Order: sequence, then C-alpha cells, then structure tokens
Amino acid sequence: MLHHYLILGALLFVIGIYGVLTRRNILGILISLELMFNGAMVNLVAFNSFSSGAKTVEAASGLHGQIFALFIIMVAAAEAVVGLALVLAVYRNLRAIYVEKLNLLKW
Amino acid sequence: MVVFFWILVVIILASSLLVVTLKNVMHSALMLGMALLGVAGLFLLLGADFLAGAQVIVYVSGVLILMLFVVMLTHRLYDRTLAQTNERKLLAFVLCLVIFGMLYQSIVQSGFQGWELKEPETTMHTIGKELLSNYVIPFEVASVLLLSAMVGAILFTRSEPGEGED
Repeated sequence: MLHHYLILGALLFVIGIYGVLTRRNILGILISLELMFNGAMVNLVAFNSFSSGAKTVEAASGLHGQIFALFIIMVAAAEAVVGLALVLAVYRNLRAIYVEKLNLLKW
Repeated sequence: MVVFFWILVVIILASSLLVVTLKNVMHSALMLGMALLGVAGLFLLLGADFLAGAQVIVYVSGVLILMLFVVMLTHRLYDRTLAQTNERKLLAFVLCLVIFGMLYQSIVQSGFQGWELKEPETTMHTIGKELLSNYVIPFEVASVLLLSAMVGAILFTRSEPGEGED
C-alpha cells in the first residue's frame, strides 16, 4: 500500500514540473510549484504513517515526518506570499506577467 | 478505506492535470484548491489529523485565497485570448515522462510493499509537545521567517511616495 502513496506523490511532483516548464504566466508557475510541494508532503506523511515497523531509537514519538510536513506548509505559505508580492511588483512595472517579458537583465 | 483512497487519487490526479492544462489561470487556481482538498483527505486517511486541518486552514483558505486575489488583480481582458503555455510542450512532456520513469523504477525496486499502516492515534498532543521541546529552535526560526516574509511582501507591494496610486 505504501508504494501507491509514493507513486501518487511522484505523479503530483511530475505534473507540477510539467506546469512549471510549460506555463507562460508567472501565476501559473507559482500554482504548479504548490503542486510540487504537495507531492513532497504526501511522501513525507506516507512514510511517517507506515514506518512503525522500522522505528528507530531516536524516533520515540514517531511523528517526525508530520512535523517536517508542517514546516513545509509554513515555508510554502511564506514562499507564496513573497512570490505573489513579486508578481504584483512585476505587473506594476511591466503591465504584463508573462515570463518572456522579464528580459530586463538580458544584454 | 481502499475505496476512499482510490476516489481521492482520481480527484487529485484529475484536478492537478486540469491545473496545468486549463487555459484560464483563474480556473486552474480553483482546481488547485480541489487538489489541495484531496491531499488533505489523503492526510486524514493516513491518520494525520492535525496536518489535514493545517492543510485546509493554511493552504486552501490562506494561500489559495491570496492567489485568487492576485489573479484577479493582474488580470486583463485580452489575457483570455493569449496562449498560456509556451511552445516546448512536447519536450517538457518527454522530460516529465523520463523523471517519472526513474522515480517509478526506484519506488518499485525499493521493497516498500510489505510495510503496514500503523494504528491511527491522536497526533495533536504529541506534535505540540515535540514542537516545544525537540523542535523549538526550528519553530522559532519559522516565526522569524514568517515575519520577514510579511515585511518583504509589504516592501515589494507598497507604492513609492512620489508615485501615483494605481
């Protein structure tokens, strides 16, 4: 059963990569990034919930995977806030949010 | 249990495929909400009750609403007529297929099939204790990170004093 969860996480991650590679819109790229975060989180929680058989000495409470996923949620929220603020700043300067317009640094 | 798992898999995969293929960014943001709710249901199936709640509260009602706001703020009417994807779709698809093939190979060969789901327990008590004992330093660093993200967001989005409102 664990490998079903792992394959689902891998699929979410790969779909996210596809979105990041093909979208022109910066917002579309950010949305696909959230999918990739979720793929990683599914993996962590699945390993945590299945790993009672492989309990190590240090994992006394056995919830380290879930706490790690909690930190991922936190970091994803911070990333989304800063990313969306950047999108708004880009939109105010360029009047467009398509990635090929962001060529100010191109010589 | 197994039936619920497959229903959630169908929901998550269908909505995440729609996220990357729909033409309107507004619709794909809404579909992202669907996928996030599906992942929260998956957490419930795995016995992670606190994490499912945090997913719904932080992701679906925090990050997603913020994204919908920005989509509406940066939307122009003729955006709907423009192509939302670039012309390297095929290359990206092949690359994703290769990455997924590698991941699938390593998952199948790794011998995780025999692992059993452990008994579900209430996780909130343990998570609270762990966060304030073993993980207290990452917890405090997280608060600093959130504060700096907030300050950064305000700094990026406020208009300059001389600049007109827009």
